Amino acid sequence: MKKRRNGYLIYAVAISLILMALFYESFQPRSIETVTIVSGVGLEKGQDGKVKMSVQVIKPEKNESGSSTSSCITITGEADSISAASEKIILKTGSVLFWAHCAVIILQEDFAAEEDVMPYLDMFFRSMSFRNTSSVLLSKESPEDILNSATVFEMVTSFGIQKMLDDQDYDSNSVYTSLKFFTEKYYMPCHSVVVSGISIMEVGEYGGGSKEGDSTGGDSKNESGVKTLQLSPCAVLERGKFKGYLTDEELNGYKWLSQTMKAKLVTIDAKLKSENNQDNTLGVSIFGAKSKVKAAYEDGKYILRVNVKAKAEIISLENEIQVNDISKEKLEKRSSEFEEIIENNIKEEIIATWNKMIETDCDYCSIRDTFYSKFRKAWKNSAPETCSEMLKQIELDCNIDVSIISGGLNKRYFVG
Amino acid sequence: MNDVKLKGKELFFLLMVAIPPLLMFFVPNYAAIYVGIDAWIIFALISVIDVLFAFVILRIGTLAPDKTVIGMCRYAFGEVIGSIFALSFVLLFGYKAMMYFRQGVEYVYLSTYTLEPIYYFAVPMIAINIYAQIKGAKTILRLSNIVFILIAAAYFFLLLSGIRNLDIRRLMPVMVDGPVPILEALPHFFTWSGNVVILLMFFNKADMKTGVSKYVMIGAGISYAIILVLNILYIGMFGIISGFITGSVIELAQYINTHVFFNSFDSVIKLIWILGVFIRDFVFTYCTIDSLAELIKTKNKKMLRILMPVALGIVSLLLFKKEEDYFITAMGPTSYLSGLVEYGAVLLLWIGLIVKKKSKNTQECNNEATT
Repeated sequence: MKKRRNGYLIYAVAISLILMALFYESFQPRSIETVTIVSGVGLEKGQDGKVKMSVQVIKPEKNESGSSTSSCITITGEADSISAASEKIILKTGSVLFWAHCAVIILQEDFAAEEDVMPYLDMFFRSMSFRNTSSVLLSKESPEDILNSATVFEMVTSFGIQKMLDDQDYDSNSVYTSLKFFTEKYYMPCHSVVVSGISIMEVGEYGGGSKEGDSTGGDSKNESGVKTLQLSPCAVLERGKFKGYLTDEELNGYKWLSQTMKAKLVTIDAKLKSENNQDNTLGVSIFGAKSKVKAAYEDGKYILRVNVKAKAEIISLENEIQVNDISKEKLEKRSSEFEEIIENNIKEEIIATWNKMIETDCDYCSIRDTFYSKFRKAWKNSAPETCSEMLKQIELDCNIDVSIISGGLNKRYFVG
Repeated sequence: MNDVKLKGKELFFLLMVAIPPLLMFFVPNYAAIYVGIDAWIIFALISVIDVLFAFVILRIGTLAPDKTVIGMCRYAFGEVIGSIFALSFVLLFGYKAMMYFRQGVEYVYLSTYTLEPIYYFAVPMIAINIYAQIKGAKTILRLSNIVFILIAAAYFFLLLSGIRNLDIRRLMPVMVDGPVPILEALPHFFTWSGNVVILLMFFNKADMKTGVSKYVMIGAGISYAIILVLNILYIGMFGIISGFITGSVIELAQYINTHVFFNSFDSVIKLIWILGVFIRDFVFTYCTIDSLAELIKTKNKKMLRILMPVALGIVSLLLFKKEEDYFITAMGPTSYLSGLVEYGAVLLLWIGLIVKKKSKNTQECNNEATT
């Protein structure tokens, strides 16, 4: 009898809980279809010192065949803070912003040059509903225009940008700076970070198949161009403010010094005379690259040892005579000459970056952190405050070892 | 069914499912707030202490294998003092159940990106907890057998992500301010440590002769090794900003393979974690209910099994409306008190049982001599 009574009690509790959940307004679930899914966000200068936030919103749709597809629209809001701008956007969309799928954060150059962007990004970084794997990029153009442009990879622009960054990763043509990495670098003693640049490129639109009477054979282009996106030179931000852009050479140097270089296609001009004494251009594919940066202290001097090991394959040689019966000795001599050229080129890239850091007084390769990790308080107490003074005190010691592999020389060809 | 004794393997699964998740959410974040990139050393110390205490608890279990911690206290210290001593364990279990339930609810709430009100998750969780309590210890432990496979997969993926993104430079320099700040911070983490103490409520249901010691020691060793390694990887991945990451170790899941193959894979890991959260809540609530029932000597536990999860749930939601409130309580004096019971009281109990056993042996010898 007692057992049965307890059983009824359990049922009574369970039913009352379910009833509470059904009738209490707060327990009503919010359907995913009623939230606004944000795929990308851009920040730029608004009017009267306000921040203009552009969000790219995914619109789930069904195409003619009935299968699911998606397009996107960009909505903007201007306010003093990110949360206030979000509220203005919510007034337009009519539903809360769902940030978990936000792939990119685009900062406009002028905005980043004037203000420390970290207080704006901080809201995203600390939010549990925002994935810190989102990339941070910088653009000269308005982020609104960027988000309204097309990419060749994806219907949704932000995801297309993300794919472009993923694809460049192996070739080291740009950098993938996640929000997490950006924040980490901001708070580290170096306070500097390199982000990828993004810009709009106008291309002619493909006119479709061949038409009757079309003498061009169907390859005609419309007069109006299509705005598409490309990765542009990488930018440096220090303490959340834009400092300047990096040249290709400086970007390569940054990659060597930050130990992130994996592979690279490099063209080295006029470093070597061809066999018939013409200026030569060497096209090299560097791969299996590894760089190690070590801090050292010898004879009262701080030294930064940069050890680089890489493999290379010659992919093109202009103005080289095709000789099929080249002797083994000559081939080896030529290979060692090429190796030396590549090694010198890498060294020049590292020095160019080093000089750029001194020139801009910006330690974007985290040299200060490298020394602090090794020498702890001794370094902290003795290191100069400014970056350029600190770098001038450090001796740079590069040890580069490049080995040419395989029969890349078979690809030599004679031009002219 | 009720006569079937628990096996060592089941206690192993219980430890693996209930203990590591606790020290991976919020807690690494808190540790980084206290000592920065040296946070992993706190977990190294906790791991060493807790594995040692797993051994102590096993010894206690073998000294009084047919009793729960309440019975052990009464047996070692007598009815009155033993009951007062046992009360400290009841309070410890209640406190831990409440704190862990709140942590679990917050985790589920945050995992769904806070789109729904917290009560939307708390009410079903309490209801499921009530159901589990009615089903009893063996059902809870067998549930952990099922969840074990999934949670082991979650550990694996987190390890994979951590190793893939580890940068040893983020862990440097080690102990730049010496060991003192770490030792000062350690007692603030006793709310989450010493959880092997729950075994004292299960030894009486286990067959202590069938290799329980081996399984418990292996379980504790592996659990704390996972905690330590994942916390090292967490700091090795987030470095100086580890104190900003609320999701702590679970956030590693976001970086398994960004964007290319496993976009949004972290949701799967979070889902598995929620299963672990349920088991952990069941276990600690069970310990609270059973120990309280034994302390007040009630045989009708059903009412307690219904009311206790509701009471613990409501109190935890009312007390900790914000994460800050939770943080202040968890890291405050109650953490010291937890340490006092889970380490101090356990050691006293061990000594008490040894003395009791020796005096009993002497008495038996004397009785034999007189006869």
